[in-house]
Amino acid sequence: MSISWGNLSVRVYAAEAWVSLASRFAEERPEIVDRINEILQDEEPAVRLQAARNLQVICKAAPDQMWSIGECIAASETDEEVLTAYLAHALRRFSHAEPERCERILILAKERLSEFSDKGGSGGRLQKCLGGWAAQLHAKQGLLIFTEN
Amino acid sequence: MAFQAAVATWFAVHILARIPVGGRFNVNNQALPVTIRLETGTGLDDIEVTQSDGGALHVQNKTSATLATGEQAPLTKTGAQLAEWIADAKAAGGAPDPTSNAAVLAVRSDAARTLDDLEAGCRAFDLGGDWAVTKGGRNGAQRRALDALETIVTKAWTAVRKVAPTADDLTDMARTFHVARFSMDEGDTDWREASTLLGRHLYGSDAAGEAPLRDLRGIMRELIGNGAPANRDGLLRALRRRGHIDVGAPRYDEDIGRLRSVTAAELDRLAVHGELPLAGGITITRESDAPMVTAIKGGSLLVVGEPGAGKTGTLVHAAKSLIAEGALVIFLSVDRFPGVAIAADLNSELRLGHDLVEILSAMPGSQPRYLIIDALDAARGGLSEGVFTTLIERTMTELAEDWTVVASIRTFDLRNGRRYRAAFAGTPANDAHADATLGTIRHFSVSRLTDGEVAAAGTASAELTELLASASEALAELLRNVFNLSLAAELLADGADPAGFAGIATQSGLIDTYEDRRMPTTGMTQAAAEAVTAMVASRRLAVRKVDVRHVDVDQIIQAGVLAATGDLVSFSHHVLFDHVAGRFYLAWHDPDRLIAQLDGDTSTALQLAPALRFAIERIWSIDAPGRPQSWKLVCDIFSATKVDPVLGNVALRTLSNNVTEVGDLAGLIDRVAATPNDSSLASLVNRLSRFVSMEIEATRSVTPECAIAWTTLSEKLMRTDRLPLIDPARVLMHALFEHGDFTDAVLLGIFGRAARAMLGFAWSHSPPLQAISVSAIRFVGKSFASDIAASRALLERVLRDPHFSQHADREAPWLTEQIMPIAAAEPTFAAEVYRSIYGQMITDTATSALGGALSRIMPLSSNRRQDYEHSRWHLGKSLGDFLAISPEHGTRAVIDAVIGKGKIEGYSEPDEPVVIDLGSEKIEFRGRDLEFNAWDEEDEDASGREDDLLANFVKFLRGSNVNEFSKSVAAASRDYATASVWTRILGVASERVGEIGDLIWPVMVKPDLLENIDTLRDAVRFVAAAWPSRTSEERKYFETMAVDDTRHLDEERKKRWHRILARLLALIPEEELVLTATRDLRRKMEKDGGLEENRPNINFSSSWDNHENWEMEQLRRDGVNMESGPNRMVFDASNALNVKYKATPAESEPVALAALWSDAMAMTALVDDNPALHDQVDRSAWGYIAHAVERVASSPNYVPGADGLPDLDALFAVLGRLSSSQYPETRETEG
Repeated sequence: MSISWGNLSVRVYAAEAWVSLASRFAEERPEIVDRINEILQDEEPAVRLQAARNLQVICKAAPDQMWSIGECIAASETDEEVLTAYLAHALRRFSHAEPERCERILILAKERLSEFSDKGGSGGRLQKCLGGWAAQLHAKQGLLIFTEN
Repeated sequence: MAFQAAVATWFAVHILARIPVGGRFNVNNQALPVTIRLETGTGLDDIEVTQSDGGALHVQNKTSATLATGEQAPLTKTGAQLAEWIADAKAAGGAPDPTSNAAVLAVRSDAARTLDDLEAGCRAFDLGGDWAVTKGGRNGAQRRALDALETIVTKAWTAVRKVAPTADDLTDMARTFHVARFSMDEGDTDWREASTLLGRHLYGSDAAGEAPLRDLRGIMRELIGNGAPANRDGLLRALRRRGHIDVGAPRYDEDIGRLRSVTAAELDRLAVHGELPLAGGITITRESDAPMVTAIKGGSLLVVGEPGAGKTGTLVHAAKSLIAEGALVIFLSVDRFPGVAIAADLNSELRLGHDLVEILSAMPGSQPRYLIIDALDAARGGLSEGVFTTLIERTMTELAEDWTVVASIRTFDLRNGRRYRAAFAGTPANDAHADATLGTIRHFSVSRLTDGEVAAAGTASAELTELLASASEALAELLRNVFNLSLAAELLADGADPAGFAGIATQSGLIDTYEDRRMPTTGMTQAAAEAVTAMVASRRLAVRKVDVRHVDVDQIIQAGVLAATGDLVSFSHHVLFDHVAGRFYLAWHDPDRLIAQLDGDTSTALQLAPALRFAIERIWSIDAPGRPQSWKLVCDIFSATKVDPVLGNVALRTLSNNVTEVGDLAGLIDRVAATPNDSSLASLVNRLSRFVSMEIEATRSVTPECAIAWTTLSEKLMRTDRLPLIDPARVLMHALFEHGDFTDAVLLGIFGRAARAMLGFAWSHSPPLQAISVSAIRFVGKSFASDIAASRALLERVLRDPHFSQHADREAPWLTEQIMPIAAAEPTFAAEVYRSIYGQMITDTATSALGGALSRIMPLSSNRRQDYEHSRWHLGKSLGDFLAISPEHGTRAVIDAVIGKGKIEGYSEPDEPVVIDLGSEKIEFRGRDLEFNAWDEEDEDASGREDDLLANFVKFLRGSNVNEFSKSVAAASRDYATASVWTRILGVASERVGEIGDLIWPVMVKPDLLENIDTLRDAVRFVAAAWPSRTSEERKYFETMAVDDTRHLDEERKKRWHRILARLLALIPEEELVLTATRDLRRKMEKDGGLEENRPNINFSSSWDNHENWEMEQLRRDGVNMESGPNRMVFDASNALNVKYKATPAESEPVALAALWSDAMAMTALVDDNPALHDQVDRSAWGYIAHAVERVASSPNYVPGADGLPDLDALFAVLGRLSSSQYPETRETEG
């Protein structure tokens, strides 16, 4: 099943707004970063999804926090789609610039594969995502990450 | 508490001043107090002081104790704790040693005098003795005091152990127990003593201790209840934080003075490294000086560089700069300590009384501290290397908070120094001064002199200016090395003629000239050779002069070749040692003797490695064409069993660096042909290939002559058909594959032959050699143009069964990676690759290791199908470039790929082909690519895929010129195509109608593209866009066809055509139509409301018609009054806000966004004013508010506070409310 939400899911749209503001204003207004962090604590996956798949928006304002939040998502996000969205959208942007940090996060996620073994008929969404990542790094970055000792 | 802090302060002062306290409590007075802890929670827990001998002092503070034994009496409490402590310790295996441990009752100086009797009574037991007998021998007052203690401890002991203490137990307790008076009020005896000690030992004078002592008491107060131990360093830091900067280190002052004077002497001795010996000394100023100081301030690092680069000079400069800024710098040169084998030797050579790291730790003050160690490479693998490595490791771990370690080393020795690499693991300290091969090491690379630096040095001396002006390119490059420049300067200072340098092209040549001038007699060169012999024998770079067994040794010292320090001599620069060893010690003229000289372990090898480089260069320079002697020597070194591999590698590297053209490899190629089965030759070639590869990778370039040389060697290796020689060929070719210039036809030809031979070889094995075959496929692809027929014949095999089914998952991605060189050489084959790759699939989902072999870092696995799909990714993303090379074949590739993909992915059964009449010819539309949205509508979820074939086709169509577009259309007008390709041709043609209109219009003389359900929307768009530029004849022809109802076979088809016309006529104004019949038809359609919007046929976005009414009805059914009242009011306002939201896209002007914001805020106020709304109404209202606010916040035109838009505070406030909304409730979303 995919996450879906109603037209009137207020917190979802609020989350979208915070995400949009983050990319423009988070450097001058660091409280936006706190908001993004709060969004990721929301009980609703649909709300968390907005921040998870766009976490790169705090890259300039709070790079270290972005990575540590990313590690938290990889290590503890309970919804497979939210986790996958983070890996496939937000994290993917750093595949060239920060392959080692990406790999660390991917390893965290990979260790949790068994928690999501085709739960809810997703067809192994996380597994596919990790496969896709691997494919990208494999094809574009000349195997560096996966075959170097 | 105040008394406790005061007593603790007294102990802390002794810790800081490193003065024993044991004497006061009759325990070991050699031991030093080490840590202090307050309120330990165990035993006598007010204060615990640990001692350097492992003992401890447990102190309880009672300002006014007496001998009273009542339950609440102070002595009762202390005695009870004493009894519990000793009882527990004895039960656990023995009483604490009374010579190093003490239980102390600390009392004020004015406490009861009877306590002195107790102390004297207890001390009577210090030498042992029976309890009753010894006690009986004391005077009455002491007996009473001991009785009181006995009463107290017996009661407590019995309570703990359930039996009374024995006489021995009582004796042990008395021996351990002490009463001490402390007078620590300001001005009292103990206070004064503490103040004097502190001032004298740490702060420069006896009088300087008062203020720090007061603050120390404050520090002790803070420690109470904290339970954490404080040691000397911690106490010092705490005092420094309060502004008390220590200037002395008790017991270490002498050692510290020694280190300071060694540093001063070294900086003075080495000052010459920053100068040229001309015109009274020319200072060499380096552009890297300031960046290096900054880098050093950023943390510990290695300074690296080639021999003679000027590492020492820059380090000396850095040290002086840091000292000038007030930093504490200790500077040691490894080459000053040739005989050091263990740490104690170093301490002894420096005449230190303590361990060096301990002294560094004791250094007073709070300024930044740097330990600089120059010339680590001088250790050359000898025993001193371990000493200095350990010193670095210990300083970096034990003193990391205070000390920064900087060490210099030659790049070569660093590559061989695992411990150095581990100690300085990190990233380069400054990217502009980094060595690309040392990416995982925190280092600063000292490079050769820049033009500016050389020129600046030259301006100070006329001779140097003349030399620099007349220098050949090779000599000028040599003089960028500080050592070389210094040699040249020395020669000039000797009176050498600058013109005499003309023939010098190598460092060896320059040093030859220097040596010839400074050592003009045979005797002197023999003495130099003897010096090397002695140094090699002792594995040191400095030896006793007396051990150099030649009388002319004094002459070469006089000449400055050797430098004497006391009884020791060493070469004036390490490079000079290397060169003299290479020229006068190593028997380069006699290979057998030379190999015998190289026998030895790794430390010998490291000492001689740089010398061997000079020897090999000498052999190379006098060798015959083809360099047979040089290659023979290296082969012999590789087959010698007793020569350390380090030397083989140095020799081989020297040769590989000297190869400039294929002739230089003839000696090696002959050997490959003659003895292909020689295993040491295979090992040599294997190593050689890796050196060459590393060199090419490091510089990312290779000269055309070198590229041809190494490719030729690869081809010769391939011809041997010997696997051990083929892998080296693969490594060489891979480096050339990445960095060679394949526009060079000669290189392309040789590379192509070698590549095809390699692929043939790999496939001739069963099973095929996987690693070699994938490399070879890439190589053949890259050199496809070298022999199109032969390359194609080979690569076609990748695409055909049975090979395809067995290997395509591994091979196809590499073939497709090279699609561009293939397309450039043979576009028809490239199109064939697209057709085959998209038309076939590996359906096997068996697990495969990603990247071919399981990674140890991240052992992700893939499956064969996923592996195969990489090949589609390559092709998809390369399509744009292919179309640019060949619009015709690129377009056929898109068509075949789309058909193949549709068939393989099978999201719909292939339809029967539809025949489309394009006027001039008929084609088939094959396959059916169901598209969820119109091609030109943004699909957020799929946008931006770089391998999207059709998206790349559109990019091409939009960016191509008319000729290219025309070729693409011609290709799509042949045999068969797909509707998806034609929708894009028509769509882009409608966008570019001014240029493309005439090209495409002829296909519109037939109605087929308009009638086809997939192409009709874009066909209508095109006709409408092209219409204004059509001639009246063309319009008439088209309109005649359009209104000719006789061509429809039945009424249904006629109706359908009229719906299509309705879309078209909606876009063409009546006055632009030429036939009356068409105008009439349009007018009628308009009147009947029949004109239709030209919408995409399939659109997954849908809207509720009359949603509001439906919702209102639901609410009514729920019993809500929807005729009037607050629910109706909010409901209407919500819907109005929603309408406004829909009419205000994100790109709207700020004014429109501000109006939306204003309505949203009004809506918020309305909802706030009506708290009892029906859930559904409340929810809709908040939902639409959220939409509107999100629209404003996300708009690129939102500028805080501008044009009526909210500032960030206002926006944050509203968003904060929305973020805490109850919607969505838990069941609302599905996860």
